[in-house]
Amino acid sequence: MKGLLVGGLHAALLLFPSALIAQLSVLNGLSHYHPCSGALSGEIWLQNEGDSAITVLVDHEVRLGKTEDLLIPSEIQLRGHERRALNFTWNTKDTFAHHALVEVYALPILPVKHESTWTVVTEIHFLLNLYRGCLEESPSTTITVQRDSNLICTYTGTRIWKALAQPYTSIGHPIGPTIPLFFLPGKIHTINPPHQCAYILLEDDLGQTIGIPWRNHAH
Amino acid sequence: MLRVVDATAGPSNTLSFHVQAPSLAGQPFAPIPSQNLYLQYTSVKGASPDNLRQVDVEIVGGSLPSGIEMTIAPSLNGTGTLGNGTPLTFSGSTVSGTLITDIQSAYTGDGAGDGALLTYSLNYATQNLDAATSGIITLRYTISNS
Repeated sequence: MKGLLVGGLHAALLLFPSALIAQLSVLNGLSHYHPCSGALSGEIWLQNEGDSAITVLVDHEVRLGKTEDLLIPSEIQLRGHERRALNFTWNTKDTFAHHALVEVYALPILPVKHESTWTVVTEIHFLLNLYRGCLEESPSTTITVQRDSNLICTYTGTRIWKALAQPYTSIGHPIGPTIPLFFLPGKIHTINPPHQCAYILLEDDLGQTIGIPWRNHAH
Repeated sequence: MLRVVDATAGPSNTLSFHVQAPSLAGQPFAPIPSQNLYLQYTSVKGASPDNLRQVDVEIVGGSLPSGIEMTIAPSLNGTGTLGNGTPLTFSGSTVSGTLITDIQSAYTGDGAGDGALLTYSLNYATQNLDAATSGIITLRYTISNS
């Protein structure tokens, strides 16, 4: 034990041995999209940040699709400082969008309660989004647009649509950064066009473009 | 990648605040000194929707008695787009909030004193304390896409 002060009439910082510290990291991003033309399996790379072995718990909830659409372990073990892949497999081959939330965290170890002491324990959880599905091929018929003080885009299709939005001036100069968009069925993105914006061009991963006039709807 | 460390850059996920009795009758309990942890992280943004990350904090175990507040104040230090930190105060029914938003590609360093400094403070008034004012509070930090 690094140090322990209890029972004194002074503020005390309790330092628990590293064996009681369970910390986990996710190494390869928090969102994983598997297009329907690609592999059904994927990996979430995990790292134990501590010296001692930890138990990693994995909770998942399929938000779009059926529970059995995603196969993923509910628990794995990691040795001290070990890096290891948490493998998952999509058990579906249709064209529809599928989405699962996956929460990974180390099994918590609670410290002992002490008199007259508030002990604050930190747990770290990672919330990941896993997606599978075909890309939308007809966005011009599945994207609806509303204009108020913002541009509100709604995806009404059944697949996944990925695009970049770029605002332009009336003479065709891009203004402001591109805005990445990722749509699931029913998803809404709100874009706040910059001043002097005349139109917005949406270009998707398949190279399809949609132009949306904006000038008459400026603030 | 992310870890919580103490001032020496050693992994640490526990802080204890010892309630100090006054030395003379009639005095109030002295304030408890604040304590620090550091959130060290490396983040490389991906394609949307993994282009922005955030850190939410929630009390998931134990509870703060009425009249006692806990504040976590972040101070972000490092290189890149570390995000925007907002102090959180927990009390009564307020048990969750977003601590850091808009993390993109950045790193904080991994040495002593590197990272997002998290200052934990417990604030109370003596008249609100009782014999049961001790216990374990579990804070869940959740890292997700914004």
